[in-house]
Amino acid sequence: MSCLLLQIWLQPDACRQLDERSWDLLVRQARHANLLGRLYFVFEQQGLLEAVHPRARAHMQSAATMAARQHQAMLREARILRDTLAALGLPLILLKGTAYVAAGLPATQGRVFADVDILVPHERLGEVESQLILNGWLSATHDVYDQRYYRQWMHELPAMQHMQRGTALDVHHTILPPTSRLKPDAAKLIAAAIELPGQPGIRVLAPCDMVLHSATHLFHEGEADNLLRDLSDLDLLLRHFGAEAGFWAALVARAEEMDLAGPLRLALRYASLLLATPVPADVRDATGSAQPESLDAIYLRVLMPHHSSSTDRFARLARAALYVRGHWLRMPPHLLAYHLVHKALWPPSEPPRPLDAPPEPQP
Amino acid sequence: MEGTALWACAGASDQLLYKDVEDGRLIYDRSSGETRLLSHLSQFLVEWLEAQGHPASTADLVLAVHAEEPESSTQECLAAVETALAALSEAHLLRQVAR
Amino acid sequence: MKVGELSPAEVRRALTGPGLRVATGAFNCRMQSEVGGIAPELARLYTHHELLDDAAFIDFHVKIGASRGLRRWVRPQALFTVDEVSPFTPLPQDQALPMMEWGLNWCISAYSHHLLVLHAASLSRNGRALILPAPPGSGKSTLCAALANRGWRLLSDELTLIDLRDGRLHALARPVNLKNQSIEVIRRFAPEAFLSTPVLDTTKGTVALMAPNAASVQASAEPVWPRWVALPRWRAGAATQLTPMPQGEAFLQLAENAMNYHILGEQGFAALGELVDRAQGFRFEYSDLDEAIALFDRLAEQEGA
Repeated sequence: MSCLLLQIWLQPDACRQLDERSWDLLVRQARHANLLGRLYFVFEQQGLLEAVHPRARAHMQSAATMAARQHQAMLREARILRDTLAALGLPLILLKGTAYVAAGLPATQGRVFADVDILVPHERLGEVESQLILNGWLSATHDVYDQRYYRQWMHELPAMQHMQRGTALDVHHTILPPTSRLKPDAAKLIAAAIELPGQPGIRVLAPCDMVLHSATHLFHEGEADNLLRDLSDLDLLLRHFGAEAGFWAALVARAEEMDLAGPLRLALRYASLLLATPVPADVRDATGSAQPESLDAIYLRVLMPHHSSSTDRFARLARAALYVRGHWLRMPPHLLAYHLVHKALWPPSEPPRPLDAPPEPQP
Repeated sequence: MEGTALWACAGASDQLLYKDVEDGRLIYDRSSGETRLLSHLSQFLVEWLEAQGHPASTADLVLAVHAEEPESSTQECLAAVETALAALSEAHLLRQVAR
Repeated sequence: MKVGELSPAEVRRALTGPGLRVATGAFNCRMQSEVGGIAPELARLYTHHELLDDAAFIDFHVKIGASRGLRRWVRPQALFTVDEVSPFTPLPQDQALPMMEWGLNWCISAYSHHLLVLHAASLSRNGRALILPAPPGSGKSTLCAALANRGWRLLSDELTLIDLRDGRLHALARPVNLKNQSIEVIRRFAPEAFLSTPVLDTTKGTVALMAPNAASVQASAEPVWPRWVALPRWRAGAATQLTPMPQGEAFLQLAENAMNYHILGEQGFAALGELVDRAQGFRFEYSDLDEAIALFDRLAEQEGA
C-alpha cells in the first residue's frame, strides 16, 4: 500500500519528480491528515519551496497561515487562563498543542490545534470548574449521558467553551481515565512541571512527561482520523528532545516509573517504522520496540492518512478494531458495551468539519 | 473633571504596527490581533505626552488642545479629549496612573 | 477547448462520471454531480470556460451528491462535498446548481489564505479594477451584474481576491449570484445574458445564476491593479452620488468586509494598507442603474488607458 504523503515526508527531495496530478494528490492527502501546513515548513526547511508546484505551494501556505493565526489565539487564551487560575493560587499547566506553542517547540510549525488542554490537581477540580464558569466558560455538551460519562469515568471534564470568545477548553486531572488498566500518577506530572522562561505562571510538562503524554494519548485514543498527525507530533518531540544529553535514559526510566512502558514501546516502534524517528539502539532494546507486535496489522494500516486514495479494504476494519481497542484500554468491558450502544443510537447531529475550516457560512 | 488619575504613555511596543493615513493613524496590535483607527487628535495627545516626559491630567490635556484650537470652546475640547482618551486607553497606548 | 464545444451528452457524462475539469480564473475546479439534471444549465453558465486535461492540477475537487435510500423518493436532497469534506448540511435537490456555486465559494474562503479575500464584487475597465464591498442586501450583485453587461470585465461577484505579494486582483469570472427582485431587473437590463431557472425558497430567497460573458472569461487569467473602492447603497429615489471616503475609514470598511483579514494578521494589515494607498475610496448612493453605470464609466475614462 503506497502513500505519497509518507514517501515525500521521509524524502522531501523526491518532490522534484512529481507531476501535477501527484502534487494535487499530495495536497489532498496532507490536508486530510491535517499535515498540510506542516508540509509547507518541511519544504521550507529543506530549501525546496521553489521546487514545489505553485498551486500546491499556495494551498500549503494557506494552511500554514491558518495554523499561525491559531497559535496566536491559543497564546492569548493561555494568558487569560493563567490569570483566571492565579486567583485560586494554581499555576497554569498546559498540555499537548498549547504547551508546544507556548514552549515554541518545532512540533508547532504549520500545525492546527483544536483545543486548549490544561492539567489541574484532581482534588481542586471542583474549584477550578467553578472558577472557569464564573469567568465565562460553559460546558459544551448538554447531553446528560456524556456529562456523567466524563465525570465518572474520564480523565477530563466535559469539554468547555468560552461563551464570548468561543474558544474550546479541555480540563484534565490526569492523563488517562481512572478506569484504565494503566495508572500513571498525575501528582508526579504536576510536581515535575516546569515554568516557561519569560512566561511567569505558565508551565508545561517536563520533556519526558510531554513525550509520554503524547505517546499515551496516541495509543489510547479511539478515533483514527488524526493518528498520523499525532504520530508526527511525537516524532518531532523525540527529535527535538532526543538531542539533549541524558534524555533517552530518563525517558525509559520515567516510563517504567509512570506505568507507561507499554505506550512508549508502541510509540517508538511506529514512529521509527513510519517516520524514521532516530531511536538509539539501546533504547530500542530496553523498551522492546523493535519486536513485532500483534497490533502491527491494525496500527500500520490505521496510521495511514484517512483518505480514500491511500486505504485498502482492510483499513476500515482496522479503524473499527482500533476504536474498540481504544475504549477497551480505558473502560472495563461491561461498561464499554453500554457506551458504544448509546453512541450508535444518538449519532452526532452535525457532519464533521476539518479543523482548519472557518465557521459554517450561510449557503 | 476627572478624579485624581493622570495619563501617561504606555511605552513603545514592538507589538504595534502603524500606518499614517489622511484621517488619522491605523494601528495593528500583534498580540491581540486588533486593528484601530486613531484620530489626529489622539495622535496629538500621545505626542504631547511624550514631549512632556511625565504624566499629565485630563485638564492639562484639554488646555494643550485648546491652545491649538482657540476657536473651539473648552467644553468642546473636553468632549473631544475624553473621546480620544477612551480610544487610546482601549488601544493600550495610554494608561492611567495615580497622582 | 471550451465547455461550450462539448455536446450536452458529453457534459452530462463528464459531470456524472469522472468530472468536468474547468479553469475558473485563479482556481482549477473538477465538478462532479450525481444530480445529472443540472448539466444543461451548468454547461451554459460555464460555456466560455476552458476545459482542463486530465493531467492538470485541480485546486478543488467538488461534488454534488444525491441522497440515498428511501429519503430520495420523498424529498430528494443534495449534499456538497469538497474532497470528502461536507461543509454544509444537505439542501433540497432543486438547489443543486446554486449549491455548486456556494460550495466553490466556501472552498475559496476556507483554503485561500495565501490571498487577501474580500467579500466584495470586483470588475475592471481600462485595466483598472473597481471593488464593491457591501453587506448582503445592499444591491451589490445587481450593480455588479449590470456593469458586467455594459463593458466592464467581471472579476468576481462575491469574492475579491488580492495577491499579497503585489496587491493585484485575481479574477474568477464565475457565474453571478442574483437574488429576488434583481433577477427580473437584470433580465430586463440585459436580455441577451443567460440566466438559470430561478430556484425558490433558498435561505437567500429566490436565486438565479447569470453567465459571465466571453470577454470576462477569456481575460480571467490576467491580474488587475485596484483603482477604486466604492461602498454601494441603493436607496429608492436617491440621486446618483459618489462621495470620497478617507483612507482610514476605507481601510476599516474593507477590513469589516474581508473574509480572512483577521486570519492574515500582519500580512492583512499590510495588504489592506497598500490597497487604500492605491485605490481611492468612495461611498456611492444610487437608485437608477443606468446613471450608476454612466458615473463609473466616467470615472474609468478619467483614468485613461
